[in-house]
Amino acid sequence: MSLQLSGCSAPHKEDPQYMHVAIGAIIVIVLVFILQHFLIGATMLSLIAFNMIFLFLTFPLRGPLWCKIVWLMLGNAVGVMFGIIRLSFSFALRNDFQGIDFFLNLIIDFLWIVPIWSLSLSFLGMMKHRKNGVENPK
Amino acid sequence: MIWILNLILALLIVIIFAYLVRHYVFTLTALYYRGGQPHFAPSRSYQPNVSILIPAHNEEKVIERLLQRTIELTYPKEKLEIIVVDDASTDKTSDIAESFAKKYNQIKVIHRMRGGGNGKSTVLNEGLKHANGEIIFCFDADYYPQRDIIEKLAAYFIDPKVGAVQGRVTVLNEPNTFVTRLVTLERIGGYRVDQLARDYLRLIPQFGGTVGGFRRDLVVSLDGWNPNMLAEDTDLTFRAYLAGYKIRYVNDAECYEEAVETWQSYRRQRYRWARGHMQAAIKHLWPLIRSKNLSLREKIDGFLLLNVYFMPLLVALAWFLGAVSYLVQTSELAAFYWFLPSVFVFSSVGNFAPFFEVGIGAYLDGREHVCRLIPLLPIAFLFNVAICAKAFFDLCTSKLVGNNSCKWAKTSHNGNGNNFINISSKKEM
Repeated sequence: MSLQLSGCSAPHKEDPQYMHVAIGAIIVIVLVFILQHFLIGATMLSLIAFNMIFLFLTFPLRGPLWCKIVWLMLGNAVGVMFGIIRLSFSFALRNDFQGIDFFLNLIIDFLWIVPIWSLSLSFLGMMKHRKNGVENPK
Repeated sequence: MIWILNLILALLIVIIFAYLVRHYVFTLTALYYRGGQPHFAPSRSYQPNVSILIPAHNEEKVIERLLQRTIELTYPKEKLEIIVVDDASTDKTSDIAESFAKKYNQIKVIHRMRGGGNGKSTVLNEGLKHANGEIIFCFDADYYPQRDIIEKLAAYFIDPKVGAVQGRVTVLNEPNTFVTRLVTLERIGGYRVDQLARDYLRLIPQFGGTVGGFRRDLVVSLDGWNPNMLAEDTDLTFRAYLAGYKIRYVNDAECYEEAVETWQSYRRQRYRWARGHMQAAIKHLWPLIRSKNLSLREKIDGFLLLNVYFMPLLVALAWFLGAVSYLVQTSELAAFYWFLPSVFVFSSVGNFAPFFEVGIGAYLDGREHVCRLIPLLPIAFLFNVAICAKAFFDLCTSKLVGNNSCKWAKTSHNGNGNNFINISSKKEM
């Protein structure tokens, strides 16, 4: 009896795109540097959380760099909009609903972070399939 | 008093953070790790005699497709034995199984006349008495395996340290309801990333009770499945590790399952899992820590795995205490504590796989459409908080009053998965 090792039965693995991560890191640093002048507190924390998730989980994946950058920018834009809406509510309701506002704010933040990240992953996967389809039409 | 509150919160955050890091490491492992353990391809030089146990209690809607599939398996028929253990069914399960047994020599039917539906362990133990194979596989009646699944799984037993193998579970009836879609997400995160990473990192891949097999000698030496445990699979996993054996996870040995379709069935199933897992945690934590058969990394993973069903409770508690902390103190520390639990709400959802684990699993599977459902995972999480809370409360109550008996809640199947069989078969071909 001989042990038969097989490479083919090993599940598919990705090659991390280090260059994409490096470019992504530069973009994230620049974005955080710019946004910190306009945003503070929990909104900024949420944006940093989103950027970290994106940088370490999406940028290393295969797929076009432009696509990752577009989704990163889109995510930050949505985050900033959420921050602005949140700030307006918090100013409007501060006296009466400070606790409720505080209670809801951070849940709402993750209600945009997760969908944007999920959609970007879905889009990236579709791009990968399309590319594979073009390269291997059969 | 406030410092006690802060201390409890800090402790909770550390525990939850440990799980978050664990899942992040698993995700990266599934994506990029190339080392790990050897893969054993099916080989004609090693094909042990195997017995497949199929416990069945009122499974008339699903058992025919599984029996039909077992006769289509590509494993050599002379080395294959299929044992249906009819657990006092009151429907046509027995007749269907008998009709197959008359046609095919490799199929045997054992009838239990009393105590039907009182637990899978008793039924499997009954089947074990009649099984002659070196390897004992278990398949639930609602499952539908790949034709070559036995070869893929049995190949790993060539390694004498391997006591059990576990294959991958994929949802058959994914598009049927919202619940089946959520279960699909959980299964992707749980198997494609979590189990795979635990196998690669030489941790503790879990035997899931179905789509897997054990060495007969090992199960016999462990006195079979424990009828007093609701999560007999988790119990057997840890007993095997404590006995010095390993469990391997085989990702490409796939089997389709008919997932629960309603919230009520989901609640019943998850309650049984939660309470059984908590039972197993109480039983095995101390032996696990003291064991000399496990490495440090296995002990750490085993500890985290055993306690995983306490996590929804701890996250909910951290969230509640975070709110209290905010109300009683207005420091930056309170805000920080308040922020962290909210992060973990999305990190501990579903079958305790964080959103990024599920997402990456779907990406690796090439099932991008599934990613769009990830934002809905917190619904399952909130449901699981309630389920785990009830399971914990019931377990504590039963321990206090000294009543350790627990009722097995059987998951019923409506056979809706049959509509997808042809599609699955075509895909496989």
